[in-house]
Amino acid sequence: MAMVTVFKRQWAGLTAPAYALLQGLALGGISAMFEMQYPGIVIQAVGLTFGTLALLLLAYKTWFIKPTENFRLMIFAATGGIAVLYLVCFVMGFFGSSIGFIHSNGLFGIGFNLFVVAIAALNLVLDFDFIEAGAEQGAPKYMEWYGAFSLMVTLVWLYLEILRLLAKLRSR
Amino acid sequence: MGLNELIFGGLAVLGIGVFVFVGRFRANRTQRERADRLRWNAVNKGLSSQKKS
Repeated sequence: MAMVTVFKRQWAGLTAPAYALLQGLALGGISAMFEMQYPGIVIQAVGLTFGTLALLLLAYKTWFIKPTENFRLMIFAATGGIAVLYLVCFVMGFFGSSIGFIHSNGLFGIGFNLFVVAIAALNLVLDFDFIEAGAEQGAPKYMEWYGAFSLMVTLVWLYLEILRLLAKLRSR
Repeated sequence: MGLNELIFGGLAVLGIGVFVFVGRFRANRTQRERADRLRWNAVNKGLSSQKKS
């Protein structure tokens, strides 16, 4: 559903709500599993996710963070690197192997998770700038849905990473 | 309701409130009128498809 939205932006008015519905089901299941293992962890992750969202929006609106070409390049590169690493880890999983430090609760694993949380959070700034630019230039209606979709994808990623980070910290 | 729910639930509600409230306003003028502002291809593509229709 996400891929359809990315490649067919004109359909975002239909595909974005459908994606939200399906993602809600998936997140509900994942959150329930984490909550069973570590009681109280979900509300912590939700609080931290929305706290980060509000803080970064304030920072963006008040010009505290300036998204420039270099900023975008850095975030794109880091996000791409993380995606490739996760993909390699996913494929290695089929052969019963894994990249150890990604899932470890040691200092390196937690440090890596903190880095991923920071990159996910900084992606929100790019989403804000994209939405602001679209509104300013009078982009078509479906771009409203597309902007909301991109914000939702980043928020979901941030929430999952915070959840993983908290679980690692609790399991120590 | 424990302290955990109170603190983090409050943070979530506050965060959503700030997002909804601040989201209604446009960004600072200095933010919008920077010379090194990002150019978004996706927005431009959307605009060109709007012109065609």
